[in-house]
Amino acid sequence: MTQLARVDCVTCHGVGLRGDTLAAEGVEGEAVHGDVELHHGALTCDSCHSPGDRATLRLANGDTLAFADTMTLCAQCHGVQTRDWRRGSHGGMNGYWDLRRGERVRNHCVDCHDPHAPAYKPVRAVFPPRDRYLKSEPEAH
Amino acid sequence: MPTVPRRTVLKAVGLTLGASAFARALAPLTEFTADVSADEFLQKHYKELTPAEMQTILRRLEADAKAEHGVDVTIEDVRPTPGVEFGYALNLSICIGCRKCAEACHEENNHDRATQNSYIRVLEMDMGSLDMARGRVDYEGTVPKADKFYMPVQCQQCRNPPCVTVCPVEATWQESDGITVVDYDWCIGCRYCEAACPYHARRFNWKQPEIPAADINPVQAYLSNRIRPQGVMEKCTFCLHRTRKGRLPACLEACPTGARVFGNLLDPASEIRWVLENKRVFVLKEDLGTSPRFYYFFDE
Repeated sequence: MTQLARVDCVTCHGVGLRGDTLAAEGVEGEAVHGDVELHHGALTCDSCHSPGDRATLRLANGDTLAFADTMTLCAQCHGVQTRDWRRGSHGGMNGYWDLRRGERVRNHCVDCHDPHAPAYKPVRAVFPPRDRYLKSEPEAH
Repeated sequence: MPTVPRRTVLKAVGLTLGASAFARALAPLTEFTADVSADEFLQKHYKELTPAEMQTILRRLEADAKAEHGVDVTIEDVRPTPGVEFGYALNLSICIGCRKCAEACHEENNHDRATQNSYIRVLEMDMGSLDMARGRVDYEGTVPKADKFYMPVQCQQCRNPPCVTVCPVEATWQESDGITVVDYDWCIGCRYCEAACPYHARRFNWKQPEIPAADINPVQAYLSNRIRPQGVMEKCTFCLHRTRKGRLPACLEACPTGARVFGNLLDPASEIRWVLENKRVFVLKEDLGTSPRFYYFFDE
């Protein structure tokens, strides 16, 4: 997951300045934007971030959106995943299956997917089995 | 010299032989006293226990755990909830084969640490094939690999469980919420059920599980994750000590990709029912007629 510095967006972008304008004036964005590399289809910064107000997101219809409501933004394109999430068959969760007996915490899109490069990253497999029978090759059926 | 009647001699010889044979036959009982108490030896089948007897047994098991492992554990007899039948579904399009579920099972269910026992095996399968015999469990490194998919296999909680049918002593049975359980104190360790299971889902305790005291999960149930004795069978119980209290199973919570869906099959509004009604669902080895409550599916 991309690690962004804990700086309010409006610190730099508050006066309506865009990244390219700031860069032309020699403002170094590296420290703030870290290692952001965009691998998300044909999307650009302004596809999701409001050009005039970097503290908010922007929907395709021009409405602004708080960062906390990211899922609404993702849902514009990823309808199948959104449906599955609503039906409880996409995304990890913790807590209770029986909601009458306890709470449940569910992951949201950006808990697992880096919005700038959303493909799920490969991981190292943990906990290999220690089984007596492992050394022989399986036979085809 | 007075003659002793042959009848008397034979009676004496017979008595001596009989007495020694009787003593010999009872000898194993004297050995029981070392590690098996009379209470334990005379314990009745799970289904025949009164609530009071069960409480006595649970307190004894807790004391045993304290004595043998040095930890304070609570062992409950968690019963099924009426109107609940558990179902589990796993999305093979999302599973990446990281084995976090197998690891979580290992820790939750107090498995032997040295053997890395777990109720879940993750098969690395060739893309385009469902030949389980070709699935590998000893893959390593970065996952998922390009031409593979990953299929975790655990107890399928069959509606027609062959493991239950073959048990000669009725030490394993299916409960009203669909979970097949084992009374570890009734099992004789013949391993018939292990041979009968088409999913390789049962495990045998070749030795008493060894777990560092700090790693023992102290929240235990009689029919699930209490530390098993040596020489008995064990299996996945859908974490009944959690799920019968409304919580999600440990393997589901550990899944980093959200490939697992769990819930009540009898609730038409449940998420598991939505998956069964809207996804392309299949079960393993359907032709065997075991009718699993564990389902697999791919995304469209």
